[in-house]
Amino acid sequence: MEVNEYNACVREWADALFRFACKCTGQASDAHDVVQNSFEVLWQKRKEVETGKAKAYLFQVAYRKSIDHYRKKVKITFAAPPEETYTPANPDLKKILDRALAQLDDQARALVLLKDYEGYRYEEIAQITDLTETQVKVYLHRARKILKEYLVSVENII
Amino acid sequence: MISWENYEEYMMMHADGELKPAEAQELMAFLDANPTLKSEMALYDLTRLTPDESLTYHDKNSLLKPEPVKRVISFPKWRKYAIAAGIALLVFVSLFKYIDTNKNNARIAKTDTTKPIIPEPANNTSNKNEPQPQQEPKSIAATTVQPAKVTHATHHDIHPQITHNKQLANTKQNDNALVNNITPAAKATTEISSLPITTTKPLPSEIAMASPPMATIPAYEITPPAKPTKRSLIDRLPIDEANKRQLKTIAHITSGASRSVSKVKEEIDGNAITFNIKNNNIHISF
Repeated sequence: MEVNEYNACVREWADALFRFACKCTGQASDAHDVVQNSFEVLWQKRKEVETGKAKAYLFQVAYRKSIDHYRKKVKITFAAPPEETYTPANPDLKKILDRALAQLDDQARALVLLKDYEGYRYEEIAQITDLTETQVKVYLHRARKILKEYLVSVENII
Repeated sequence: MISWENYEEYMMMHADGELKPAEAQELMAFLDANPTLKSEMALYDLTRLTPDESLTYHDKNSLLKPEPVKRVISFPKWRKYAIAAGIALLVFVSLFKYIDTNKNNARIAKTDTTKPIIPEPANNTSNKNEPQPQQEPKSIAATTVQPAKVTHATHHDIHPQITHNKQLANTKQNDNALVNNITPAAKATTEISSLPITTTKPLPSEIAMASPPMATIPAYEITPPAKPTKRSLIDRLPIDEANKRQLKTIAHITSGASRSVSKVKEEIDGNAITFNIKNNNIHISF
């Protein structure tokens, strides 16, 4: 990978990587560090990484950094938005889902984000996270069930 | 096959966007058959997250690396024109040279092909400046040069040169004296070697100068081979002369008839034919 190709990766994927890291770590400052470290690793390994696989490589590094970040912390302090009601008149589903996402463990959250934000398929997520395809599928379905139950519980409260 | 036991897995795969079109159709058919499950399906679809575009990384410049700057060498206008003119001149000169060389090659090739190949005699060092003949006299042209016998003809080739070159004649006389002094057996071999069959083609000037002594040698007169007379098929037949004459008469009459038939064919003009029988013109139209 040449310098101009690396710079193109920065321009194209920095925002997506930051969003992913933000949701994984729950903190913008931590996400900033994750993004910076990920691109630093890419720059160091630029001779080995093909341009077409740079995005997956970046997310792989960011995923590992995010997991490491969580492991270092004794307790996750996810910056969840304040409680809001979910009604047809105020369908702020996005915020409710953000809160639901906070209920998930770090790995399940990362899998959901890779699936929904980046649109990766099961086998691609398996390559990024070093899991098997079946594991990815099982963890993702477990996470979907938790999210759905959270939505049902919110509906019941309403 | 979707059932009450596995429908949830299909719903989650639908939310993940991993269902094949056929499987998605099957799921919809199952939901149509069981409408109570439609709300559950809607909840699974709601769990699909959408990226927050407002979240952006503002410090991209710190991640960017300096790219190597490409140096652009700019020429003044007059220099551009000068270079262009120089290239054009170079191309023109090269092209001219190329065409000229081709013409010369073609000319050389042409002369080479038309000119007959005349082998030089072995001792022909003194006659290099003399004009080379383009066509040989008929009697001499008939003789073919045998490259293997050129070495035998060396002594004979010197002989005509003696007649017009006095200095060389003296040396030749000495040479002849030497030849006369050699043994009869050796002399016989020299005489054999001087036969016309083994001679190389002498130059026209040599022929002109050496013609008187050459005329005395009858062996030089090579008569052209007689042309083989054409014999008709009838002549070749193993029959008597009287029968042959009769056959010839029949052949003559037959060929005359065929000629008249061809003449009639020529006289056919469109839809009519005119021919003459005993000075009477007969015209038939059809």
